[in-house]
Amino acid sequence: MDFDKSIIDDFVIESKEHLESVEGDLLNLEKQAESADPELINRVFRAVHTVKGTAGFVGLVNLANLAHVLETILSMIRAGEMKPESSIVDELLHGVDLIRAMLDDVYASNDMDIANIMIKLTAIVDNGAAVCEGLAVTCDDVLEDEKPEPENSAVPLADILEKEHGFTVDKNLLRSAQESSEYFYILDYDFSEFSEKHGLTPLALIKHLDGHGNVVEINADVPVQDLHVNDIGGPFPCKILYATKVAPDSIEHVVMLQGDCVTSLKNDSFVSANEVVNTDADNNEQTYGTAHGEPDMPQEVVADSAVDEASQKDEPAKAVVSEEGDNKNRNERAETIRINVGVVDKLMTLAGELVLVRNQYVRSVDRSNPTGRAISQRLDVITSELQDSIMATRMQPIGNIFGKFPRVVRELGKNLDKKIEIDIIGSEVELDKTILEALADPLTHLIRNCCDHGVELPADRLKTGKAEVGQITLRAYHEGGQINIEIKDDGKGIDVKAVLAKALEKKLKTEDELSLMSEKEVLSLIFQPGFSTAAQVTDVSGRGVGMDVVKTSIDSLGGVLDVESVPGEGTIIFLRLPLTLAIIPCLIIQSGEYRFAIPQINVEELVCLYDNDVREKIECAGDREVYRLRNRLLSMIRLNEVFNRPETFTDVTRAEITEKYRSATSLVQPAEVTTGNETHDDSTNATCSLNFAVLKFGINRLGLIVDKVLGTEEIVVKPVHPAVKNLGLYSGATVMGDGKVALILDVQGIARHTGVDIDRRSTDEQLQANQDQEVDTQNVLLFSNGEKEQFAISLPLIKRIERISPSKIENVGDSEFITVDGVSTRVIRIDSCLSVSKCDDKEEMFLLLPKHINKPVGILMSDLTDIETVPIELNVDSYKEEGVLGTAIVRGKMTLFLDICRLVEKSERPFGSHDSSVSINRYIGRTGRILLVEDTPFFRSLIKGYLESAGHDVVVAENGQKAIDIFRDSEFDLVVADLEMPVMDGFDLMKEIRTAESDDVPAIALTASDSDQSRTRAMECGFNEFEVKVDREHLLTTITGLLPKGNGVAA
Amino acid sequence: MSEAVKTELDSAQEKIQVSTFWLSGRLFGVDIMDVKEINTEVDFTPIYHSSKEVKGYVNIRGQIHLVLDLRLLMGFESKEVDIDSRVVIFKQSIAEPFGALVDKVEDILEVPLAQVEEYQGQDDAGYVVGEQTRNSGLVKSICKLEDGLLIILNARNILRSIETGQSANQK
Repeated sequence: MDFDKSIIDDFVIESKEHLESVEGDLLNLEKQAESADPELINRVFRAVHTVKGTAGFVGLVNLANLAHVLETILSMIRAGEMKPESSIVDELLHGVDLIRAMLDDVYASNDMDIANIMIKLTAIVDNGAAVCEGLAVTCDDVLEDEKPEPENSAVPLADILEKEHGFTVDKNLLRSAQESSEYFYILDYDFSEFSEKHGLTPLALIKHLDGHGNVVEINADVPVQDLHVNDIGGPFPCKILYATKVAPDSIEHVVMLQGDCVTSLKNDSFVSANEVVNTDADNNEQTYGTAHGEPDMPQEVVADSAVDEASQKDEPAKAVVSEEGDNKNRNERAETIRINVGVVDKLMTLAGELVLVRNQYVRSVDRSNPTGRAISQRLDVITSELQDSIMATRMQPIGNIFGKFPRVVRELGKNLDKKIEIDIIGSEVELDKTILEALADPLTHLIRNCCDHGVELPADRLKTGKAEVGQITLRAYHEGGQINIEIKDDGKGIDVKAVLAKALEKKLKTEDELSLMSEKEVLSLIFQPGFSTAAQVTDVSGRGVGMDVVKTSIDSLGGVLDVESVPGEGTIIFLRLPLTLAIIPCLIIQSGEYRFAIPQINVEELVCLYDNDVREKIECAGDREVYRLRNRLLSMIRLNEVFNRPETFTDVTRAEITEKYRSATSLVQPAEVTTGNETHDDSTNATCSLNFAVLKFGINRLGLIVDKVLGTEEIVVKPVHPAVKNLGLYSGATVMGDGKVALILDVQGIARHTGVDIDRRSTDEQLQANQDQEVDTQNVLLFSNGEKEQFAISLPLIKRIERISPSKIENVGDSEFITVDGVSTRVIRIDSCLSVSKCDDKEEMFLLLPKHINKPVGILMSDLTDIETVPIELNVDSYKEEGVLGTAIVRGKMTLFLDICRLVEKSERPFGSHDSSVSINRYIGRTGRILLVEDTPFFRSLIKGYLESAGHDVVVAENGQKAIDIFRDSEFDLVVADLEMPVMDGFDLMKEIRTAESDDVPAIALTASDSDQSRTRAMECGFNEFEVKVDREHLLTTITGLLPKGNGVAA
Repeated sequence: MSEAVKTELDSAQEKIQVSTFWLSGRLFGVDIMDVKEINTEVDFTPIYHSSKEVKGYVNIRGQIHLVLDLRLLMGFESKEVDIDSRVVIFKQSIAEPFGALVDKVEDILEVPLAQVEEYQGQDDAGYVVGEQTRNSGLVKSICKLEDGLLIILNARNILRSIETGQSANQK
């Protein structure tokens, strides 16, 4: 994709456009042979002339020569020296065909053998002259003598041009130029410099010049081979012979050149030539005037016979040429043919219909009949192939739009004084024409942004240790039936702070909202409309002049736009686009009795919940339903409700829906759930499973609850009927295999309708994410004891940490004591309880005083590391020892999480004397089914562990409400409940339980606040026992005491 | 009925052909030049949230048509589709593919222009149509037949009345 190739590409495209009309014009010319419309001839002439001019300019000698001969013939026709008879027009057409063939393979054109056609065409030129002479002879003998004169008189200028400036100019052409122009100039262009300065392509320049005069001839001093070379820095000298009426004093302005590059030819030789030519022209006029004035048979005959003779003479040559030409043509035509887009669209529609018929047939075919099945399979395969092939006709390489970016980048680089290179990968990736066309502008915009705001000035780059030349990488590739485009620059990246400031300034978000947003979400703010509309973008490095426009256009293509940026290192913008818009893979779902299609590009995954999960996993967060999907909260939307409520959802609507399903599912057994008047819900609940699709729109997700998932299908998209277009819920419709219509859902529209739109969503997600953090992580104290291991203790279990000096430790038998706060505290050495490395003895050590342990004990630590937030999930399999909860990798180090209670217990007996199972076995024999209600995940898992290790069957609930729900469904031998909980606290829970039938179940209140007040209140509410967190031993004993004698219900 | 009409028509100079159908016991018609076909396909795919006059989409030979409930448009009560229900499909020159659901189709009538009166809106002929439709330009003209009135509708305004109705709803 070098610069020069693009010039040639432009040339080819424009030349083809020029030639397009030529054929028709020539044929018309032939029809009106007698009184040819001068405008028609001029049009053909101009077209060929432009091709010739540019061909010469870019060094395509062969093409230029051929066009030149054609031009000569045309100029003769224009001058009336020749009539556009069919034989001549034939040759002209042939010549035009050949030019076209050359254009198709432009780089080989110089090697193409055009000798034959040249001979023929030259023969026509000569014959034309002969005819002309013949005419002259028959009309006026005097002309015979005068005839050579004009040629001679044109010679001085032609000679001068040839000798001094290296121009070989056709005399006819020179003559016609001389007729219309007063001045001749030789213009010296260095095109590579010129195009940078003025931004004009050679073609544009020639057009410009042609507007003020006549480009007679062009000499390019660069052999065409050099144009293949990527090096674009080199000069591209070129001389243009220019005939114009523009006087020398203003010529510099017109041709955009310095004076020293313009050579004026207004000299004596020219004048004389001009004069002579003028007389010549007069004579000619006179001559033709006579000829035309008295048209008679002999002239016609002469002309005809001459031409006939000429064409007969050339017959063999013609055959050869046409054969060669045809072969070439066939080869090249096979590569590309031009088809009207309308035809392709029609084919697409028909292919779409065929797909539908195929689907219908395949469905209806009798599977037991082998012949029928075989036919249907073949139909299936062929239709698919046909569809693919037709799709392929619409496919165009993305290189078509990528191709112009090197230039854009180059020019922008120049303008901005930056050095930028662009690297293009994947030009061959093909995209649907419609998408491709719609993509051009957004991509250009993004590239411009990269240059303007991304890549720094060379000096800045050097300062930050980067290469002077900024690199933009444009990459396109296929992935999963989609096109991915990456635009990457190694510039300064997007300054998140600036984006934040801007967002605040523009009042797009409040400070609170912003503080909750992740970096990625902040970055995506640049796509918000109105984010950056002003011109002073550079001062904040805020990309995004019109980024929202880019986003909108990408969205409208069904694409996704994403941005990643590392300050100082660069920015990557990702585009994900469907291959085509006409046929798209869709997920087919059912809601009520009707089917709907959701474009696969929006579908991230499908989730199916069964039985209890249906009720438990869909939670309520405020007025809406949410589902926790791998630590991410999904707003859930029920499609049935969307359809039943035409008005945009408000908080009230959402609350209504949430309440409806919550009460419906929590109160009644799922099989019996009836949702009142709703017509669509039976299938959801009858099977007691619930399907939802996780749909993405932009960077957001939502869960769409549907009645049934039917599968995926490739569907032909039909646009929405204009009368219902503004509903916004549908992006189209399609005909399904059975002939029924299904609507295609617009995910964005649904999100908008239900109010799960971007703003709200991102904030919510953040809030939820914070809650998530609370729920799924814990804060731990990291410390070390020996030199090897790293330990962790959950912060809620630590009362405080005391700095001690080991010398103060006193020994009583095997035990060590130290006085803390006037109390003798037993010192527990981890290395004496666990098989870990020995404690480093230091001058100053730390004593950890645990909470919830009623004996005065402290755990000795040699070094405190830090406090860290870690996931609550621990690896319990790789390292097992009593006193260790589990392990996890913290800061790249394996860390032992200590169970203080067990450690204390363990330290009370001589190391290794008891088997751990003994302590557990004490409680076995009195086991039961226990409902544990605790909101803090850490305690929940800790206590659950204790209870389970004692042989109990434990079911957990996070709050009172949940506990009630669970409690109603099954029986328990015992309830252990925290008192302080969200949603429903322990007191209310107990009241609730006591008022229900199963009022006799024993219950233990478990709390951190050991106050008489709460103790009394707990007892009043109906708790049997009051336990302070977390005395394992005591708790287990209490439980054993409360459990009914013998085996429990569930044991 | 049509026989009588036809014999009577023979004497008139200029006639128009009207495709007629029944809606709530009254005879309606549209210019036959606007009609593409009459179809029996009445299994519609509803378009939720669209105005109530929109019956839904129907597929007719691979082309999706929007079908409107003409009864509702004319201000009558809607009724369940039955064996006589038909969809009058209009030509594409009228608008994007669409059709109108009617109770039952009747003959094609040739009526002399002399019998056709422009519908004025305030005219007492307005009794045949419901309140809403008075101003929508749906009724083009009224034709007096021997045994009753034939209301000729303007096919071009049928779809338009939905579009305008919709925007009105949204306000």
